[in-house]
Amino acid sequence: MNIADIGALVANYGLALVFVNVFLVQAGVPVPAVPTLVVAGALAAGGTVSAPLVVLVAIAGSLAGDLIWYWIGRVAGYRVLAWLCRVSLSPDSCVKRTENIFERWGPTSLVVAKFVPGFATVAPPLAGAMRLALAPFLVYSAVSAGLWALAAVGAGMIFSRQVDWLLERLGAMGGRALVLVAAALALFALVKWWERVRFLREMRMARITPAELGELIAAGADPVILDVRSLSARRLDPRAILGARPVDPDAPDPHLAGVPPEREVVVYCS
Amino acid sequence: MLMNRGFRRVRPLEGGLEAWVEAGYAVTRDPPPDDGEEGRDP
Repeated sequence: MNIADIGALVANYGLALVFVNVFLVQAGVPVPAVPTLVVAGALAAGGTVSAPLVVLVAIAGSLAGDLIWYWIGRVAGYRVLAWLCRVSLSPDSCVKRTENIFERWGPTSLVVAKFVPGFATVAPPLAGAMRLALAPFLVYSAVSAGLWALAAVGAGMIFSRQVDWLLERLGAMGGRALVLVAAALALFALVKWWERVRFLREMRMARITPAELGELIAAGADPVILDVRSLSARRLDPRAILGARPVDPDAPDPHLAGVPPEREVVVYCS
Repeated sequence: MLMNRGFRRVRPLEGGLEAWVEAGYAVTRDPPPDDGEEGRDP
């Protein structure tokens, strides 16, 4: 395989490749999409493909993935966010952090969603769970996807010589290049998975189960129970554990005044 | 954050509120107070 073959491949299947790649990323599959867009940008600089078309296809792929999560969020509400938090390969994409971003910036936070690690996948179901109307959701998500794709494609166009050089080297490697790319993708997923395993292991060691908390309360241990959900989460789901104190974990001092540090503290979110 | 403030026995509830409800334990349905308000004591 040489650069001409890669160019022909992108010319024939490039747009479909961009659509599928971006859709998979937005659907939550842990594969990168930026390299594809950068290569597409470099090829657009050489006239192999149309840059505006690549951006439009990337927007379409992103919106397709976003819409699925948006509707899941509308149907399942906050449960899908809790589930995403559990299965995500990115430990930093926790629901609480996403809620804070959404609360602080409102629906316009969707515009920067693609640029914030972990936020891109969680923001659409959160928007659905928070009952954001479909029209503004689509507008903000399209703007976000457009800016993100434009940045990657633009970078590919600016650094087209360097990308061409890299593609030529990969082309000269023939089938080994595919093995190398596949190995890099597998390593990427493996590192993400390992981060997740470590994160869950640490959390599991320190967690308390509902049964254990129930026994503590029944035994009169009187633990301090803190509800660290966001304000909007509490408004959407007003249920709370009996005796729980609503607390902003980033500024807990006003809520913990007078609580001795030796007291057992249990925190919970959605 | 809590541990940095001296609390040594801090544990997150496994499964969060959903797991607590699914396990059949009691919850309140009072309107949530605004951030900054003191919560209910047991």
